[in-house]
Order: sequence, then C-alpha cells, then structure tokens
Amino acid sequence: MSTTEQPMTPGFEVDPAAFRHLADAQVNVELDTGDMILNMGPQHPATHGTLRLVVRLDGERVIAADPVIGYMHRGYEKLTEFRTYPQVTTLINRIDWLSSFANEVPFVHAAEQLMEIEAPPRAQYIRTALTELSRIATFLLFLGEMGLQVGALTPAFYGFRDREHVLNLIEAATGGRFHPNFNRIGGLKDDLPWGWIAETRNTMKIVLDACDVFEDLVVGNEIFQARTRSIGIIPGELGASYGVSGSNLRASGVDWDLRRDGAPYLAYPDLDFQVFTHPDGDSFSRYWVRLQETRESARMVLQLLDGMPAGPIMAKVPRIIKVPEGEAWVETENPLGQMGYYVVSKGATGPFRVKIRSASFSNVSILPWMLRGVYVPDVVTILASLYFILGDIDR
Amino acid sequence: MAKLPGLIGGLGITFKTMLKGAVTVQYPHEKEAPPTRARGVIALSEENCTSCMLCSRSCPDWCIYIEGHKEQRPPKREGGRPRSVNILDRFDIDYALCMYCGICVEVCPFDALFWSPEFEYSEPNIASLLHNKERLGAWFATVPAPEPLEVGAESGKKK
Amino acid sequence: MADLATLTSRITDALGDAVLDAGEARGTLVVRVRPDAWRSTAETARRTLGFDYLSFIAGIDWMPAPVVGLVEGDTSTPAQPSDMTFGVAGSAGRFQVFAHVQSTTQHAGVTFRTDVDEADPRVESWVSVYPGADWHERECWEMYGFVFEGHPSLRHLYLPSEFEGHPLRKDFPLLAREVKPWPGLTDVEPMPGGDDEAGEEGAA
Repeated sequence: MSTTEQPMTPGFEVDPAAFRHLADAQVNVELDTGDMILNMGPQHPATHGTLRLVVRLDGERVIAADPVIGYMHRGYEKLTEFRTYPQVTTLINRIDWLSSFANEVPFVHAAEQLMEIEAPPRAQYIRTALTELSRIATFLLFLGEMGLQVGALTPAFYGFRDREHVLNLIEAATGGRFHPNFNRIGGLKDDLPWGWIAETRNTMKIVLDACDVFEDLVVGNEIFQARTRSIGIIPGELGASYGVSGSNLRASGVDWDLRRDGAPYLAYPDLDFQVFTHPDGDSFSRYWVRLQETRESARMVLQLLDGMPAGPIMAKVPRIIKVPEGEAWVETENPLGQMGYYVVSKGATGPFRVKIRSASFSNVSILPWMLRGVYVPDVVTILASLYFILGDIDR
Repeated sequence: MAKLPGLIGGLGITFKTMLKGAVTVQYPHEKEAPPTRARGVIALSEENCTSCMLCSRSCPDWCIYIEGHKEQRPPKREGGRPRSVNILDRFDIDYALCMYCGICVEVCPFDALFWSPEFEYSEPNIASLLHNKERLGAWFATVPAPEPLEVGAESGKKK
Repeated sequence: MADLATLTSRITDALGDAVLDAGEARGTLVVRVRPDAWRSTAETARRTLGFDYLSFIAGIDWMPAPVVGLVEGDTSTPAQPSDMTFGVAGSAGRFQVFAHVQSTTQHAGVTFRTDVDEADPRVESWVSVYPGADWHERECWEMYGFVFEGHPSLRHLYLPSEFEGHPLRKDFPLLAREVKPWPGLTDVEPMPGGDDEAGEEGAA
C-alpha cells in the first residue's frame, strides 16, 4: 500500500525550505534534489516488531514521519466481549508479552473490585513479586537491546543471559516463561514451589550485578553517550498531553509513578522504594531511568521476600464467576507505562466491554511530532529508547 | 575524544566475561530439564473422564473435541437398576490451536487432565498436532508428582 | 489522592451546565456532559482543572449483542442480558464516547462521557486541546464509526484502508465464532432400546 492512497498527516506538508539552513544544504541548493520517501518496516530489525514507519527525508534528515500500525491487531476488545473472565485473563497475557504477568493484574483487580472481594495478603505479595520480576525481565531485555540498536552487540547477549534466570523463576512458579496465566479472580492459581524464595534471592544478586555491568559497559561508554544525549527530547508537558507515560515521562522530569501516586494496589503501600526522574528528557535519560528502576525492582523483590506473609492464596469465590453489574477502572504502573482496563460488566460470566488502555499506543503516537528534523540513525535510537511492544500498540 | 575511560572500562568487562566461559546450553545434545510445573502437554486419564464437556466448553480456543455415548452396565448388586455410563469415543486436543492456558486442566471436576512438562512433540505437518485419545493417554506416564509448596503456604490446599 | 466529593464539586462547578449527570464507578468518577460541550469540557479540564494527561478516548455501544453462534446450546459464550441498560451516569442512546484524563501533579483523574447520536454520529474532536487525541480518535472512528469534527485526518489506524464496517459495534459479528461450529456439540447416539434421557445428558 503506497502512502499516496491516503491524505498525509499534517507535518508532511511542512516546507522543506525550513531545513535549508543546515550546513549540508549547500549541496542540496546546487544539485536541486527532491525529497525521498523511505519505508522502514514492517519487517525491520529496528522497529521492535511489525511497526511501519513512513518517513519523508531530505537527504538524511526526516521532514515528516507517519507510523503505520495495525499489523499485529488481534481485536482484543472484540474478543473479550465473547469470553468469560478466566478466558479473558488468558488472552490478555499476550498484550505485552515481555512482562505478561503485569498485564493480568489490573484486569483481575478490576473484576475483584466489582465483586467486592479482596485477594489475601500472601497472594498480594506474590503478585507484586511476580510483577516486579516481569519488570526486571523486560527491562533487562531493554538494557541489552538499546545498546544493540545503537550499534553495540555485546549488551544484547548480556541482557538475554541474565534474563534467563528471571524467566526460570517465573516458569518455576507459574508454569510458563512468557505467558504465566497465574492470576485468578480472588488470588492466584497456586502457591510457590519449595525453594523458590531462596532461588529468587540468588537471582536478585545476579540482577544487581547485571545492572552494574550495564552501568559500566553501556552508560559509561562515550560513544553511547554521544549517540543518545540530546536525541529525541520529549518536553514533560507535551508528553503528558500525548499520553506518554511510565519511564518515558519520568525521564522528562515528571515525577509520577502509579505505584506510589495512584490508587493503592497490590503490596506497594507496604514497600519502601524510590522513584527516579531525570531532567533531560532525551534517549540517554530514558535508558538511565530504566536502569535505576531495574535496580529498584530487585530491591523491592528482596523486601517482598523478607516480608512474605503466610496464609491462603485464594479468597472465597464461587465456582462459576459472575461479576455483578458495574464499571471499574484500574490503572497500574506496567513496565511500559500506564496500563489500564475499563471494565463494563452487566452481571454475566463475561465482561460487556473492556477498554484496554495500553501504554505503548500513546508512547508511539508522539513519534510524528518527535521525529521531525532528526537524522535517520537517530530515528533508530529514538525507537529503541521509547521501548514499545507491538502487541501493546496493536492489541 | 582524547581520553576514553568509559570505553576502557567496558573492554575490561568484556574481557572478564570472556574468561568466565560460555553459558550456552548446546541443545539438542544437552538439555535443561523444565521445572515440574512447566506447561508442556496435557495428558488424559480416560477412566476418570465422564464426558461432562466442561473442558471443551471452557477452552478459549475451542480446541478440544469430545464425543461420547452412553452404555448400559449391569447393576452393582442384585435387583438394582442397570447403570448407564458415559463411554468416551473421541477426545482430541488440537495442539495447533491450544494456547496452553490450562483452563481445561483446572476446570475438570474429575481430575482427568494433567499437565506434563514434555515439550518435544513438534511435527512436520499441522494435522499431526491433533492428539487423539490414545496419544493423550500415553502422555500420562510423563506427568510428574506434585511438588511440595513453599514455606508459609496453606497446607492441604488442593490444586 | 483527591477526595472524591471535592473532586466532584470542583469539576461540576467548573463545567457548569454542561454536566448532565455524574456518577461513581470503581476507581473513577464519571461525568456525562452535553454533546455540544465535549470540546469545551476538554479545554476546561486541561486549562482550568489541571488535568494535563490524556489517558484514552474510546467508544461504547450499549446495545446487547445479537445471539451468538448458529446453534442453540452454545454454552461456552457468556450470555449477556438481552435488554439494553446503560451504565453509571446513564445514556441517551446506544453510542457514547468516553475519555479519561488525569493530572500528573495532583494525582487525580476523571472519566468524561458524552452521547453520540446513532443516526448521525458526530463528536467534537479533542485534538486541538490534547494532541494525543489524534490516534485515539482515529481508532474510535475506525471501530465505531464516530466522525470527529476538527480532526486533521480521520483515516484507518489498525485496519487496512479498504476495510468496510465498524468492528466494535455490537451488530458486527465475530466471524471466528460463527465460522467454526462449537465443538461442544456431540453426536450422541441414543442408547439401544431408546432412552430420552440420553440426548439431554450427552449434550450437557
């Protein structure tokens, strides 16, 4: 499908003469070159999945960019209207597949609020631990692959190697590495297996060491800094009006973390943790904030293991779950940003309407604004630093 | 860029890692054992199944096909009525559709379905991924015993 | 976290007579405004009330879905009530648009809702107030058919440009469920000698 079939977004009509003052414009003026339309994707190693980015270039500078999404659209909101609550929990694992446990939590929490039941404390602690482990798993991948996008091959291997330990933990507890399907309305499916807590303590040491490695190997690297500092700056207020959330917004100086500031959920009120912000708002600060958050997540997991209460992991729920009529909105601080579910229930065994607010959708919507005037290699850096998952964008 | 301490530090890290040895598991010559709870394949215990259809109904992908019929059995004791039992004709799970969610295993009231960590059953053609009753029964030998739970778990909690 | 009562009164005071109804859903306050005040609600929210963060804009179709499945007895799909009821804050008709905005500094949020006429589904666009509304409104148009007036270019976001229909409307079928017969149907053979119970129990 060529881009001439549809009218362009505003921005494509920006006058290229606005960029003629650049040093290399001398060449353009003499040769009288035209603009080129470059199609990045949907099969492209830098676009993290099937994202198609159509950019209009003047030489190597982007004049305008138009992301084309939907190659992975699975129609979740339609599917949820035809499924029961346990079946929906199974499906929504697959929205953000790198941190899938974290996707289930807000939905199950919304159903529990409508049913007015509360998961027991042990279940809340285990849920929080698994959510933070998912956050560590996905951030370790980010720390590795952002180095890869910038051109360093080594961090990617380190990221995957250290992530294996966390995935093994999740698999030992839930049975699945990527799609745990462990949350149930009212608690969890099973308790933890014997030896899991000791194994998790060891793994957190590995994670903290890995964070130090990334700090020395990537953050301290002058070439990495030259590639990422002042690239892709998002002003905090503009980012908020676009809906950018999570580490991206905190890297622009906005001090907002739903684990601390939103409605209390899971075991976060019992935990003592720090929220990191960075004033610059560029790609480097997004990497830095996520690195600090990985460390903080490891410390939170250790706190949770120390304070893990004993007891049941499932509240009393009827065998056939019918959620009473009502509407619920639950938002959580997922690794990618703010994820929320607006669940409308009419008293049946399945929801009437589920609006899935996914973080990457809004994070990527700022790309047309952000990519103007940027060099093509910096486009890759910006895409890597925003850290979106296609399943989260396309649902 | 005259002084590059960051780059030198990074080179030091990669050098140290090089001396540590590779962590790669050379599959298929070496294999890592999956944990006990790993969801590899579903095994069927035919004698427990009563064709109640709960698993087929709760499967989100509609990948379980069950057919059965009823038969008469002689009464248990003298003078009683003949019992009717459900005989399972067909119990197929289509692993090309199965999303390994585990709802069928959990929902079965008669403990006829179990998880097994076996995962090496890939086939060159998709049709062979439909496991019939006999094959599902054969997986039963690989079902592990339930493992003990962590400290603080409520004892006596059935899965 | 702002107290719900103070939040409600702040919002209703600022919006004045644009508010038709307000209600409380779990986790959020829902304020239903007049359709012609939709954009001015956004402006008040951003400028006066300090809600600088746009979470989402979505649509909802309150009509109950037609009976699913081609066969009676498909008990795998949940049966929704067959009468049309509206949620918190009520509705004038079948379609509504709802949006959630939050404040990053005051840590409060609110959901705004407005009715959309079924015969002529036009809604004012929020793009001039919240630039992030661009993609949300494109998705809403594509899924429900609401035309957002003032949107720079309303075109398909997820679906191919040749796609016809609006998928999230309740009368748009979920083809996957209609094409494949439910495997729970069994050919239960009657017992030799005929017994009426067999048919019922086998298909249970």
